[in-house]
Amino acid sequence: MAPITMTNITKVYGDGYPAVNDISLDIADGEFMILVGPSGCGKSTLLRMIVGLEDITSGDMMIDGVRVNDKAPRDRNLSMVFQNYALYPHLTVYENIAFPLRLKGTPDDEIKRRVEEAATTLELTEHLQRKPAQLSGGQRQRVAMGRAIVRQASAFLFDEPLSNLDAKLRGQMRTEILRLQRRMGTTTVYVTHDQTEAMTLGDRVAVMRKGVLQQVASPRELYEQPVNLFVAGFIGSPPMNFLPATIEGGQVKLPFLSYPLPSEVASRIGDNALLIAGLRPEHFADADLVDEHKRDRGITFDVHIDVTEWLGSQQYAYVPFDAPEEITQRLAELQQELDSEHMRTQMIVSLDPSSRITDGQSAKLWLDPSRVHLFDPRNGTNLTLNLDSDRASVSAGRPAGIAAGSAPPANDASSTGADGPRRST
Amino acid sequence: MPQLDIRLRVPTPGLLALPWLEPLADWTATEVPLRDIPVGPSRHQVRFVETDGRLWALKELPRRLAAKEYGVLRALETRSLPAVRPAGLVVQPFEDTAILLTRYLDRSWQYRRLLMRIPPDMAKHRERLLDALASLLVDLHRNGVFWGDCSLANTLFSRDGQVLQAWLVDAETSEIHPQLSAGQRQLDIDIMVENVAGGLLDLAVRLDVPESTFPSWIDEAATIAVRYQEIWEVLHAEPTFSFADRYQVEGQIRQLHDLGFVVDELSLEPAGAGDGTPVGPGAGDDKLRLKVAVGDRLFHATELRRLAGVEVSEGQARILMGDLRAYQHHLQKLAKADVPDDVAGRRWADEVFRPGMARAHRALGGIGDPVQAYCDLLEVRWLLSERAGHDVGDAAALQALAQRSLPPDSAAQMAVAETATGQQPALTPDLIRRLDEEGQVVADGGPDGLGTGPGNEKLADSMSRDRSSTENP
Repeated sequence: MAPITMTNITKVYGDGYPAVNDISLDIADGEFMILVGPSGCGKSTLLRMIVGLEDITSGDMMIDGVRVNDKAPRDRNLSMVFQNYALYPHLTVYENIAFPLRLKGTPDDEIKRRVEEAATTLELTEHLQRKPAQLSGGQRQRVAMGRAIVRQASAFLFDEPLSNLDAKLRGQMRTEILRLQRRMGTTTVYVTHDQTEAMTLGDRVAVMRKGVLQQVASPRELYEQPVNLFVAGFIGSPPMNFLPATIEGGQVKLPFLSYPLPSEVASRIGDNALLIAGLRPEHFADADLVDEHKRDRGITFDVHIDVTEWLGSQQYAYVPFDAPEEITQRLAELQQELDSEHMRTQMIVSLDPSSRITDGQSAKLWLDPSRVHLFDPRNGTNLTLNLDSDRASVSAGRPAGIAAGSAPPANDASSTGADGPRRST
Repeated sequence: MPQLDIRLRVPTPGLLALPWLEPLADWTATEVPLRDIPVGPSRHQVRFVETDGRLWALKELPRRLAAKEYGVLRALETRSLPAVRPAGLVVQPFEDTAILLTRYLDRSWQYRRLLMRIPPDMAKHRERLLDALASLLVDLHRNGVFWGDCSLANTLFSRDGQVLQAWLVDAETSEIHPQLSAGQRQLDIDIMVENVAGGLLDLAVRLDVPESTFPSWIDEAATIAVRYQEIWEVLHAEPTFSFADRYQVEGQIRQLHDLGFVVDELSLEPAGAGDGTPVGPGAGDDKLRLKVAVGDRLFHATELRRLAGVEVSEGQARILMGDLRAYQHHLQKLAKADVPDDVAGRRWADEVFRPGMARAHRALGGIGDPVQAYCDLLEVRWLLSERAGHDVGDAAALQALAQRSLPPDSAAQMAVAETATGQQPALTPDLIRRLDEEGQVVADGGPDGLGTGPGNEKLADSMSRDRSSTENP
């Protein structure tokens, strides 16, 4: 087990394109770090530089305190899990796990000890003498993990490990990976383009865009306190709604409502008269169903409901709105960059499934304006970041004590150190 | 929800008519001409369909991954690399799946087919498999392709003269780069060694060989890294020598040609001090560094096409060129004069190659590739003659081919992999021994000859003369 420290890591290809641009990131011993972002953001390139598959143009890559820039992959003692996880049908589970050690000439008794230890961790002990065909899909995946475990690597690396599994196995495997990491407490770096995977697995998540680190934080902090428009749009499903916000006479005017501009924001917006407001779907409510004690904290307003979707445990309503050309243009660019299929000129509202709001009618909604993020449309910076103490306390309340560093401004994320990893118990 | 999107590169009626709206697993033999072809365990649904006179492989996998693999296979095709050729990509309008369609490689087979039909003590054939796989990985790496999952199971093999040609069939984990880093190559080699060890061990267990031999199977797998390095080093060597010793260039070029590689360009540059500073002539240190830009592995194939107008693969061409040269030598002896290359090439093709190919293919019951059958005939005749101490003639070799009584280590033995499963009797050590004995009888019954072993020109000449006299009485 080992910490991985990256300082000013850059990868520039022959054509001058910086695939990874000046990234500094500390991954603590035992931490589960996710690298996430849309295709082409540089996350896989960064992982490959950790493994030793890509030469590092500049910067320092340290594993367990040792600079590894010039070390061959095999000398870094890392394990790429699921990279080649073919199981051999005629070999027992034991041999399927053991044979890489045989190849290295590990003594039999040492092989036995390591395989049995891995089998205990993976709850495969009673299956060791079986053949892969006698195992369930999930058990087979655990055998493949066993092969990675017995190498006793300093860290596990996963490069989109679930992308080639069918939907059924994908969820199952996600749980297995999380369980394994928690049990073993091995430093793990996991690359994915899927924000749901990122949010459910990581102690911390590093969001990347065009080779630049945008924000490194706990899943919760990313969700509650996105540093910029890109992170806000990338994290969350259904995604955050972006609406035009006009600043006029000390008021923030959104398509359906207006509210007083918080004084802290007023000092940050400069001469911006047009901002982008970000509202999470679940921050709205059917005004008829809001608890009395909450009602006063928010505003009610009327909208025309285009479509509703009732999913049993959830209900969504879609509300179209108009936006000025410059905002529409900016949002279209963002949508393309995020590879998103969501139409940005209709608002998604999450409603209680018991709500009676129906298609084609007007409805009264409720919103707490302190939840609204305001972004600078020119550079995407979140102008409401760390504004109110309520939100700050929520973000500090991450599970189990990984300290997220200060949220960096857009396009200039610095590393955020970790006090200590979330340990297995 | 994705829309149905059918992209076919060979838009034949049969392919268009397939039930693309159904999950691949639900396709039934009553509505689709499915074919049962044994493949190793796969993490995805794979099925085979025969339509419009061709066999197609279909693999269902997540949409994103299918599109990626399709793109990689297209890139491999553009680079003329040995890989299955992508024929289409069909995005299905449900779940998140797509079907990748590839054309099944004619006369190719899985490693298991060969190794299951040949006794486990015949390590020579396993070596041929490993050589082919190592050579494929070198080809890919030279072209910036990181495989990510190089294994015997992800490869198909076909016969190519006395060697095997390996073809990449699974590019799920592959990536194309402008150039590979040393780290990428090393990881790919490590993966290959581990996968090959797993594949061979699995087979050893399946063949029920004694457990005590497992370490030797693992050692065998480890040799594939050495095989890779040897080829890589020949291709990338940059030897230095003094200007006066520049004749050494020829040896270097011959080594590349022997491996089948074409030389695109060679340059001799001042060796310098390693810091880019050229070393001036006359300074007593006029060392030159040889750099060779190596092209495709088509040296003999190109030569044979030029001389004889015959199109064959490189491994076959290598053997046929030897045959052509021997025949040219024979013609020159008869004419007591030089016979130009093009004349010899045309006469060899008409008088030796085409009739010989037809006879050899007939002897093998019309199974497999006719050109390969002729290559087998040449090899068997050579080996039987070497064993007999004289040229045994075509007739004896043809008989040996027909009876499959072939020398155990001969490449011709690999013809056992050409027959589809079900038509092929299992080769047991007993059967081999019996066939061997029959082969000996055949060899002993041949005419007196001259040969003492491969490389013996007299034997080669005698073989050519004998063949031409049979064809042109």
